[in-house]
Order: sequence, then C-alpha cells, then structure tokens
Amino acid sequence: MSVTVRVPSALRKLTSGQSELTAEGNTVRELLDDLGRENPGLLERIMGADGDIQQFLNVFVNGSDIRYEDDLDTEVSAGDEVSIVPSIAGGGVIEQ
Amino acid sequence: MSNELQGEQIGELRLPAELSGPLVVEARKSVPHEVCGLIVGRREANRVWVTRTISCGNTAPPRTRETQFEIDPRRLIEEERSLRNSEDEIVGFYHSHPASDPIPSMLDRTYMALWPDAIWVIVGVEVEMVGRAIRAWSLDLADGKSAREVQVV
Repeated sequence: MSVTVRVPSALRKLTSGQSELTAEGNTVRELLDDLGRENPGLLERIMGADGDIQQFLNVFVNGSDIRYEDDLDTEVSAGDEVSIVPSIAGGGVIEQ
Repeated sequence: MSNELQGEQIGELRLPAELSGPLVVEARKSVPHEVCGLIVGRREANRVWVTRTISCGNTAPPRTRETQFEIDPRRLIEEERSLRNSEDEIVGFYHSHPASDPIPSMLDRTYMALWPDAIWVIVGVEVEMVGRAIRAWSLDLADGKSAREVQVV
C-alpha cells in the first residue's frame, strides 16, 4: 500500500529536496524500511543503523504518536497522514 | 555517522532587528529557564531570510529547563501544515542559554546532527561575556557532526 509521508522542510538535504515522500508498507516499520531504501541518508541520520527507530525520531500517524499506539507495528493505510520529525532539543548544559 | 551530506552550507542569516529584539527580551524575561521556538523564513541560494519567529513552550522535564529545552514535534507539524501554500517554511529553531555563551553545547550538537538543513539560533543572556546576544549555527556538512557559525546580518 502506498502512503504519503511528510518530512520537515529542514530535512530536505536527506530527501533530494522533497518534503512529501511516498512509501510502500502496511505498518510504520515497513514504511520506514521502504523510505530508508529510497533515501539512505535519511535512514542513516535519523533512524538507527540497525533499522530500528531511534529514540530521537518521532513518528505520527494522523496526529497520534506511535509510541502510544502499536509503535513500529502501528498499521497504516492509504490516505493516512504520516509525519516523521526528529526531536528538537538541546540546551546550554554547562560542560566541565 | 559517516558524511553523506551534500549541498551548500548556509552562509548568512538575515535577521531583522524587529525580530531579534523580541527574542532577547523573551530570553531575559524567562531566566533562569530556557526559551525556545521555531524560525520561519525563506531560503535564497545559501542565504536564509527570517520572516517570523514562533515562540513554543519548553517541553523539557521541568527540573531540567534551566539548561535544556525541547519543542513538541507536533507544533512543528502544525506550523508546517499552515505554511504549505506559502513561500515561507520553517528554516530552523531558536533557544536561549540563560547562563552560558550562545555557542552550541555538546547536547545542542547531538540534536543539530539530526537536522542538516536547519539554522540554530542561540540567544545568550549573559551577553557581557561574549559581546553579542544572538549567534546562529548550522551543522557542518563537511563532517556531519560539528557546528559551524552562520553570520547574522
């Protein structure tokens, strides 16, 4: 099944300039695997090297965080709005 | 992480005084806590023009907000949705360093590495230390992990 995945515009270097990608899959895991095959830079930078989702990547299906659904096994269907957003954080931690 | 990044490094950030002034005011008012938000603008070759800033709540755990910030990713999704038919886009993020120089910390650089095309504006509060309150940074595309200063004009 073909699903549209939205990627923030500030990640366009990893997606050949696209902020809307099409991926094949019936679960979030399958979508991410497919996205990674098409966009290896995206896979390497924002997903874990072992292909598992890393802690800094947030995935939303129709606005719901998949951590509160079935995580990577969350099912998706055509017409769902899937967004991936790396965490936005940091801060002036005083370094010794 | 290997260097898979290509493209031109952001060379210049145009940040008008009417937008930078309120960032400093917001940062000072919120001491000892860090403030944060989204930066909206346009890209033109290797220049970025800021057209608006959007203050966001700091969603880092309350006890850590003096030295850390976090922006709810849903906020970015909402704002990008509202910008879909606009020439503007979210070009980066800002946050304050209430007690340290406006230079990316190791923690900042960890997150910068996830955002190769974003501008990171850091607002210093203790500006006497460095002379300038606002400095901008982006990921150094040559190594994909260090921070590179972007000239603010």
